[in-house]
Amino acid sequence: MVYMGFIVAMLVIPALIIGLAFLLYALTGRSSS
Amino acid sequence: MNLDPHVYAFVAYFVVVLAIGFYAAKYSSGGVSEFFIGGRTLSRFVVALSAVVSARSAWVFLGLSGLAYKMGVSAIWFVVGFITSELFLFMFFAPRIRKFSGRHDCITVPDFLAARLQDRLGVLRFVTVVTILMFMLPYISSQFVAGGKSFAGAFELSEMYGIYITAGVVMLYTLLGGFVAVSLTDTVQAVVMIFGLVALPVLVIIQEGGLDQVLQSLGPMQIDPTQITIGMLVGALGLGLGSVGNPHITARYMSIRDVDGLRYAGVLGTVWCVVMCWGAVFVGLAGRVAYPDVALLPGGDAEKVFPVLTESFLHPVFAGVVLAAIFAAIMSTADSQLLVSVSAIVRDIYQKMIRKGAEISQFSLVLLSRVIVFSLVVLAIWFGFRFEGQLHDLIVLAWSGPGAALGPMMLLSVFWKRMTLAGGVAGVLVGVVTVLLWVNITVMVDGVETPLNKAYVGEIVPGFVASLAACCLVSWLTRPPEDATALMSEMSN
Repeated sequence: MVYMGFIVAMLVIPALIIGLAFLLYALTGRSSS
Repeated sequence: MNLDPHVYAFVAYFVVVLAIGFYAAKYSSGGVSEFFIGGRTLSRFVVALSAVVSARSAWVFLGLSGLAYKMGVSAIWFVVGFITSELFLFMFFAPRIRKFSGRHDCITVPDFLAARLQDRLGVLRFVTVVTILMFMLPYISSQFVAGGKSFAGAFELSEMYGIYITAGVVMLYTLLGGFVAVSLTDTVQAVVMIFGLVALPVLVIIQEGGLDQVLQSLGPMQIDPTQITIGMLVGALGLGLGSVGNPHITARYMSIRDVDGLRYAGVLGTVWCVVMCWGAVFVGLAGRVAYPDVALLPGGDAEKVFPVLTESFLHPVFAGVVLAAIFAAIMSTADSQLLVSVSAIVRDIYQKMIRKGAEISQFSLVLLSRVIVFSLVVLAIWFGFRFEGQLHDLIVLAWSGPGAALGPMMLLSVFWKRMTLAGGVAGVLVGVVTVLLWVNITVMVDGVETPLNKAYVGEIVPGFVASLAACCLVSWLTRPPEDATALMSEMSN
């Protein structure tokens, strides 16, 4: 629990951003095809 | 001159970027479209990396790692805003502007605005060009100064020679190879930068006894991302508002060969940027463990943490490569800003305003562009020698100025049919004035006169909001172009 803030900042947030990138890639591909 | 192993890595790096300049010369000499946007032939890979690194500058290495050293993991909020905003731009904004600019042969941002908002008198083109030059030129100067200082520090040269060498290399490959050279060198620089930002924190953390040991050594404040004031958080996230208005980023979207490649470029650029920026934050955290007191860093300056760790923890040859990465960051930004400024002068002022309607050979325009590259570099060096003040503040202002003044107009022109020419002019003027006032008006904080951008929130937030309001208000009061529906459909089909 002590490192929860660190894990969120250094792992969860970048993972969410990268996940969002792949999600938008998939969604925009579907709408354009 | 001290010929240590650093020098070999540096020389090798400079040889590579100059070779790219010579290689790209044959692609850039065909005409202004080739010189300024590579004839719209760039691959998705090159567009992704060059868009990301030309927007970042040495701030990632020096500023961001310094922020992480001082603030701990809260420094991530300074990158979350622009990474996500640029992701959305790649996915939704870039395809529309690429389609439109291809159909109307737009090669600069003022070109796009003139075509979209039917600027027949060139009023909007003029205010946009003045805004671009006003903020870009000091920024190019500051990059040369930053390069000169780092060069001088690394090789025991005088700062003057450092500035000449940095400016000379940038000038030579930009002058020869235009946009293709700038984009290809940006791509090489992106690879060098990511090496520096991943390798260094990993090595330092291993040598400091592993991640667990590093985390135990850091104080609770350093590992808590909520240790940031609301004003600072808004300003940090607000930096993301700047991306859309900075023309050297938008020009990348216009240069891609296939429109669908922008989605791929969005994913690659985002992943690359996340790795670079979080790497820089790790550098700051690792530096805090290696040097717990800022007084241990040269001059008590937290922004020195990256070069100091490099010197202390890496083999001299790798240290040379990593220090070259700082130059890569400086050069990849300076070259892009330089080319945008040259395009504003040659394409927008000379070809589209002074010689409007005249037949000018493409050879003459490219030749003139090369002369202007040379002239602007000389001007930037001249400014650079007279530059005094904080580099970080100037970089934020140079990013925020075009971001606030041009960003709302760009977004609305692409997504809102009711956007008008008068609305655009009003938006630019209000944005510029708001930004300049915000950094110059002071209030008393703890008995010290403090500018509004330091006392409350960064200048981009009020500048962007005021410009957006002006664009919307004036557009509602004026008539949009008669064929606005057709113009908008040219972006979506």
